[in-house]
Formats: sequence, structure tokens, C-alpha cells
Amino acid sequence: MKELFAATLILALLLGCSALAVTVFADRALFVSPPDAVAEGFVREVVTRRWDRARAYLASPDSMPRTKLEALRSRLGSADNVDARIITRNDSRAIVEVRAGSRVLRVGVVWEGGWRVEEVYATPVYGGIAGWVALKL
Amino acid sequence: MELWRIAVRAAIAYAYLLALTRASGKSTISQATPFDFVVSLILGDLIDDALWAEVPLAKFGVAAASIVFCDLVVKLAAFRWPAFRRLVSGDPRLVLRDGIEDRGQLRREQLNEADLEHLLHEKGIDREQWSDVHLGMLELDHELSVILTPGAKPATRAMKEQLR
Repeated sequence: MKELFAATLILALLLGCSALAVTVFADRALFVSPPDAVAEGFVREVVTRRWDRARAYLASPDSMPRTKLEALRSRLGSADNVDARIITRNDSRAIVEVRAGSRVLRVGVVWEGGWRVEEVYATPVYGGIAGWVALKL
Repeated sequence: MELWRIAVRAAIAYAYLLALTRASGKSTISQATPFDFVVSLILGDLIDDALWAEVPLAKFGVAAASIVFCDLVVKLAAFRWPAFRRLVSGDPRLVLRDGIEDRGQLRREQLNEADLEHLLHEKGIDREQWSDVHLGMLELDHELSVILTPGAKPATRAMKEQLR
């Protein structure tokens, strides 16, 4: 029984540190999945046609019905290599560029207690200094 | 993803798993059962997701702790109730008696005669010396325990090395 108590205590410590990091120290990328990992995960799920799992990444799952996800999948094709990098970011929003094979798309990610995909842009909309300015405004 | 974040995440996950393993009072690797190996594989897979930030560290923590909790509960129950222990871990099997192997028991453990020979070699016992073995017991960790017949000489370290 002593072991169960000790293991619970260690779990509580990790959860406490996580909560503290996010709420007090505004951690957005260490204890939580960073925006690029979230956008990359979302695109991976779309590419592999796992619609329900893809929807779990969305800020509002109803905003992207299956038909929209299927359209995105047909745009991306069957890419094996998915890679993401952050274009611009602040504490509440980020724009991530995701490469899926030879295709590139930009994903808007928003902080809602964890990073969530808000929008997939048809064409690149923000970038570099312009993106930084847009986010600051 | 920044390299330093990967390093810090790896260090946190490492420290967390180390603390969990110590707290759960894990037996040594040499005492590990095949299922302990499965648990280690599951934890290894979980840490992979945490390192690449595919899941938040809190989710990794909960998943890893749940596996360790389940393992602990099963081990505590097995300690308390011998019938439950037999159900989850099985029993040690007598595979060799007075130099004669029990083929039925070997089959149940999915061992063949060559495997038994290998296990006995590790104890420094050659094929010709099987008759010196009074009891050969395959323990739960798949180690072979050997009780020699009275008068038989136990193998020296040099003899074991020679057989390997």
C-alpha cells in the first residue's frame, strides 16, 4: 500500500508542476504540446483519413465537418513526410507552416488551455514580420 | 521544435519514470518476469510520445502512472492471495528430475531440449552430468534453479566459463 501512495504522490507532483507551469509561468511549449506539434499531428491524422482523431485537434470540431476534412485530404494527397515549423507565435495564437510531402499549408492554432487548430488557410496568409505584426494587433 | 525543449522534456520524463519505478519497489532486472518486460515496453512507448511533444507531459504522466498502478495492484494482490499469484504468474515448473527431463513441463514453457541444455550449461552442468541433478526447477523469471544429488560436486566458475 505504501508503494501505491508513493506512486500517487509522484503523479500528483508532476500534475502540480504541469499546472503551475501553464497557469503561473505561462508555459506554452514544454509541459504542453507546442503549436507545431499540434498542427503536425492534425495534418497527420487528416492525411491518414482518421477524421475523428483529426477533429480532436480542432478548437471547434463542428467548424470542420468530414466533407471539409476530406477536401483537405484530397488537396494534400497521401504524404508520408509531415513536418511543421512555427511562422509566428504569441501566448494565445500561432501560425504554423506544415509540409506534407510536396504540399505546404498554413494552420492557425489558438490557445485554449492547450493548443488547438482554429483554421487551415487555403494559401499562406501570414509570415515573418507581417505575421508578427498581425498577431500583435 | 527547439532542441533544448526536447532535452528538458526528456530529463523530466526520465526523472518521473525513475521516481515511479523506485516508488513501486520494482524488483531487480534479474528477477523480472516476462510481463515486467511487457510493462517496460509499454512505458518505453509512452515516453516516445512525451519526448516529441505529441502529448502533454501531464497526459504522459497519467498514462505511465496508470500502468504502474495496475502493475502494483496485481503484484500486491498476488502477494496477498497465492491463488491469484498462480493465476497471473503461474508456478515454477519442475523440468528435470534425477537427470530426466519432463517433456510435458518443457512443452508448457515452450522450451525444447536444446534450451534446457543451454540453461544447464549456464549452471556449469554438461550433458553427461545431468544425472547429478536431483531437481531442476524453472523459476517464474525463467531462471533454472538446480539442486544436485548428494555427493555431486557443484560447478566452479572456470567450468561454467568453459561450457559457455
